[in-house]
Amino acid sequence: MACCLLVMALCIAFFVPFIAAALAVLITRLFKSWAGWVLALFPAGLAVWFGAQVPAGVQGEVPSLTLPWMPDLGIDFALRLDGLSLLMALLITGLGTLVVIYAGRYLVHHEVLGRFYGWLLLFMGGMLGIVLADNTLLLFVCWEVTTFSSFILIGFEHKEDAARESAQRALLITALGGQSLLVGLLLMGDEVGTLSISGTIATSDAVRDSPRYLAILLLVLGGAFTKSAQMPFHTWLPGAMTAPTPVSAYLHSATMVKAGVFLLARLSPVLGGTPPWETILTLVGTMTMVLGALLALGHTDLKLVLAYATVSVLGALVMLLGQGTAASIQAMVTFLTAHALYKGTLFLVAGSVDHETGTRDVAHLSGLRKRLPMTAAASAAASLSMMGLPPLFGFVGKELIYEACLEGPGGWPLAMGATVGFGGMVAAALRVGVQPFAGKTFRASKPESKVHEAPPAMWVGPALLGAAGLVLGLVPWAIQPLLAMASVDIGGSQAGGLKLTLWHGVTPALGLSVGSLVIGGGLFALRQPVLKGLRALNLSNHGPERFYQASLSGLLKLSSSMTRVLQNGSLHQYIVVTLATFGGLLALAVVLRLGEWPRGVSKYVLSHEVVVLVGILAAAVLAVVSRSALTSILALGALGLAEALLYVFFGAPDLAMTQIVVQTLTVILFALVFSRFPVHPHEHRFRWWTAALPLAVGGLITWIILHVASTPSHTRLADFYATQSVPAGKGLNIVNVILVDFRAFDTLGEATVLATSGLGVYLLFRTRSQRKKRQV
Amino acid sequence: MNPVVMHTVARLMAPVLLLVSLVLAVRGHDIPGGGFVGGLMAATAFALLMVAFGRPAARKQLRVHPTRLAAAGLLVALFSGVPPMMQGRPFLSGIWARLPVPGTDGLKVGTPQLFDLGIYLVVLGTAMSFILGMARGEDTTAPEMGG
Repeated sequence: MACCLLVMALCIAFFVPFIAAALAVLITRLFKSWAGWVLALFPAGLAVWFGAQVPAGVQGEVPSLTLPWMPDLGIDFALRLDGLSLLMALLITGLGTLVVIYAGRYLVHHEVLGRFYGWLLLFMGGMLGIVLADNTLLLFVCWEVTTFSSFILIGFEHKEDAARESAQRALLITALGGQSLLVGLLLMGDEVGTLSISGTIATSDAVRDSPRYLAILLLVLGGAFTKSAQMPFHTWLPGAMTAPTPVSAYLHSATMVKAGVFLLARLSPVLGGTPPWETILTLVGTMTMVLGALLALGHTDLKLVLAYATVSVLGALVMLLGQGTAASIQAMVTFLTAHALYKGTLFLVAGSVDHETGTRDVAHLSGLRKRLPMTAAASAAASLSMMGLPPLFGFVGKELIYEACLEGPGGWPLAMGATVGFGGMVAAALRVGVQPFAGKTFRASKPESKVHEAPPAMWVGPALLGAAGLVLGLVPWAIQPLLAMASVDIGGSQAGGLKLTLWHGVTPALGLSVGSLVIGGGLFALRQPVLKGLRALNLSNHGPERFYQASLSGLLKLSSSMTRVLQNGSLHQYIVVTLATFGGLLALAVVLRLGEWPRGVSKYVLSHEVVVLVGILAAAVLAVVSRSALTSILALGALGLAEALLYVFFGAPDLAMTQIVVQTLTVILFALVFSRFPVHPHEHRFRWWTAALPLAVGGLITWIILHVASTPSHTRLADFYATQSVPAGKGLNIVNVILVDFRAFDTLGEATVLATSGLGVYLLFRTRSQRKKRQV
Repeated sequence: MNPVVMHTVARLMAPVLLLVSLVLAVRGHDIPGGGFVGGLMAATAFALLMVAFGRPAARKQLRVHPTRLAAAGLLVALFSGVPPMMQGRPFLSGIWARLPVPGTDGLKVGTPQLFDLGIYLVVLGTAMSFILGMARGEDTTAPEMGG
C-alpha cells in the first residue's frame, strides 16, 4: 500500500510543474509582487518530496510506474526514480525554487510576468519529465518541451532583434538535434524491441553488438551535443544570454544544457564503453572544454563570460563520460552538482549587479562589495568554488576530475588539457566573481549613491546556493550517498564506493590543481593583452558560426528565389503553375495506370440534360470571351448553378445544395474583390498556350471520368458505407454519416485547415489596412 | 438597385436564411443538409446583410469575431470526440441516444450532431472572415439595420 502511494506521488510530482504553469498567470495576477514567493511553493514542495525520497533510495528502493499511453506503439507513460533521476530532480526543483523567487523581484515591473512564469514552470515540467521518464518517447516529448520553452524564454524580450535572432538560432540548432535524437531513439527501440529505458539497459550488449550501433550512437549524440552546446554546436548558448537573467541561470547553466549530459549518462550503460563512444566523447568534450574557456576570456560581459565558461564545463562533463571509468563517472556526477551550485549563483549575482548598477560590463564595475554585501559574499563563495579552491565543493569535484584523468585511458595528455581548461575557468571566475566586487573605484552608468543591495528575494537565492557550495565542501559526506547512487546508475556496480573527501593529500592531482590556478592567475593578470589578442583573432566569427550564418542565409536565398518563381504576384502565373502541376501529375497517373481506351458509357441521355449541358458550355465560353469582368463573374455563377442542376438530376441533393450556396458566396466574393482591387482590362490577344493548358487538363479529367464511369463501381468500401450507415452511423443520409462519423477525423482535419485559412485571410487584410485597430 | 427594395428584402430574408441554415444543419444526418452547407447558408445571410446595409452593420449583427467563431467551432468539434473515449471507444466514435418526447417515438440526439454543429461554426466563421476581410474599408455610410 505504501508502495502504491509512493508511485502515485511520483506521478503527481511529474504533473505538478505543468499545473503550476497553467496557474501561473492567475497567481501572478492575484498576488502581484508576492507571486514569486507563492509560485515557488510548487517547486519547493517538490524539492522537499524528492529530498524525502533520498533515504529510501539509498536503501535501494526505486519507485517506478508504467501506464499504457499508446500501447500499440509501445509508448508507455513510464516513470522511474533512480539515483541519477533523484539527483537531477533535486537540482531542478531546488534551483527552480530559488530562481522563481528571484525572478519575482528581478522582473517585478515586467508587464507579462505571469506569462514568463508560465513558460519557466513549463520548462521545469519538461526538464523533470526528462529525468523521470523511463520510456524513450516520453523522454523525447519532454525534451522537446524544454527546447520549445527555452526558445520562448530566450526570445522573451521579443521586441529586440537580438533576442529574436538568438531564439531562432537556439531553436534551429536544438530542434534539429532533437530530430536526430528521435531517429536515434527509434532505431534503438527497433533494435532491442522495447522503448522502455530500463528495459533497454537490461539488454546490456544488444545495441553495442548491433550493426546499426554507429548510426544509433551518432544520432543520439546529435541530440545530446546540440542540447549541451558541444563544439561545433555551441554557438547558440552565448546567444541565449539575451534571455532574462533568471532564465540564463536556470536553463542555460544549471539544468537544460545538462539534459544532453544527462541523456548520455542515462544511455551510457547501453551505448558506452566502445571505441567510438570513447573517442568521440573525449575528443569533442576536451575540445569544447578548452575552447570554451578560451572564448570566455575574450569577453567582458558578465553573462557572456559565464556562458562560455558553461560551454567549457559541459565539455568537461562529456569528456568524463567518454572516459567511462568508475573514477571519471564519480567525478562527472560530483562536478555536475558543484557546477550547478556555483554557476547558478554567479548568474544570479550577474543579474543582481546588472539590476542594481545598470551594466554587466566588467570593465565598468569594481568595488561593489560595500554596496552589495550579501551579493558579494555569495559571489565570493561561488567564484572560489568555480576556481576549485578548498574548502569549497568545486575543489572536491576538480580533484576527482584530475584523478580520473590521470587514472583513465586518457592519462597525462588529457589531464594537461583539463588543466588548461580549468586555468581558463579560474581566470573567468576571477573576472566575473571577484573583479566587480574588489578594488576601490566604482564607475557605472548610475550615480554611486543610488547603488544599493538587491532586495531580499534577489540575494536569498545566490546566498543559499553559495552557502551550499561551502557546506558541501566542508562536509562532503552529506551528499556522498546520493552521488554514489547516481554513479552506480550510470556506471553499474563497479562505479560504486564513491568517497568524497575535501583533502586528498599531496597528490599529482593537487599539483595539477595548483597548475591550473597558476595558469588562471596568469591569464587574469594579463587580461588586457589576452582580451585584445582574442578580439583580434575574432574566434567566434569563424568555423561553426560562419557555417551557421552561411546556411541560414543560403536557406533564405533559396526560399526567396523560389518565391520569385512561384509567387511572383501574377494570378495568371499562379493558375498556370497550379494547372500544369496538377495536369502533369494526372497525366503521369493516366499513362501509368489507364493506358487503354475507355470502354464508352452506354447510357441514354435525356433531353433536359442536354439543355443543361448546352447552358454550361455557353456560360463557360461567355466567361472566357467576355470583355467585362462582371459578365465573366455572372457567367461563372450561372455555370455553377447549372452544374448544381446536374447534381439534382443524378441524385446528389447534398452536393447540389452545397454547390448552390458556394456559387452564391463565390459571386459575392468575386464582386467584392473586383470592386476593391485594381483589375487590368482583359487582354484579348490569343495565346495558344493559355488555351492549350486548360483544354489539356480538362481533356485529361474527362478521360479519367470516362474511365471511372465505365468501371464497375461496386467496391467493398461503397458497400460498407451503404449497409452500415443506419446500423453503425445511425443516419439515413450516407454522405453526412460519412462526413461526421465514419470519416469524422478527416473532416476535423479539413475543418482545421479551413479555420486556419480564415485566420490567414483575416490577418492579411488586417495587416493591409487596420493594423492598429483591434476591431475586425 | 433601389435601396428600399434591397433593404426590405435583406431584412426579411436574412432571418429566414439563418433559420433555414440551422434546419439544414440539424436535419443533415438523415436527409440532405449538414453542418457544412448550413454554415455556408448562414454566411450568405450575413453576406446579404452586408450588401444591403454595409460591412459594419453585418459585422455588428454577427456579434462575435469571425475567427472566434471558427475557433469555437473547432473546439466544439474536438470536444464532441471526447465522450466516446471515456467509454473506451476511439476518438470521435458516435454516441446516440433517444430523448423521450411525448407524442413521438423520441428525439434522436448524438455526438455526431455536436460535431456537425462545430463544422457549422467553423464554416460560418471562416466564410465571414473571408467576406468581412475583403469588404474591409467599404463604404461605412450605409444606413443602420433599424433605419
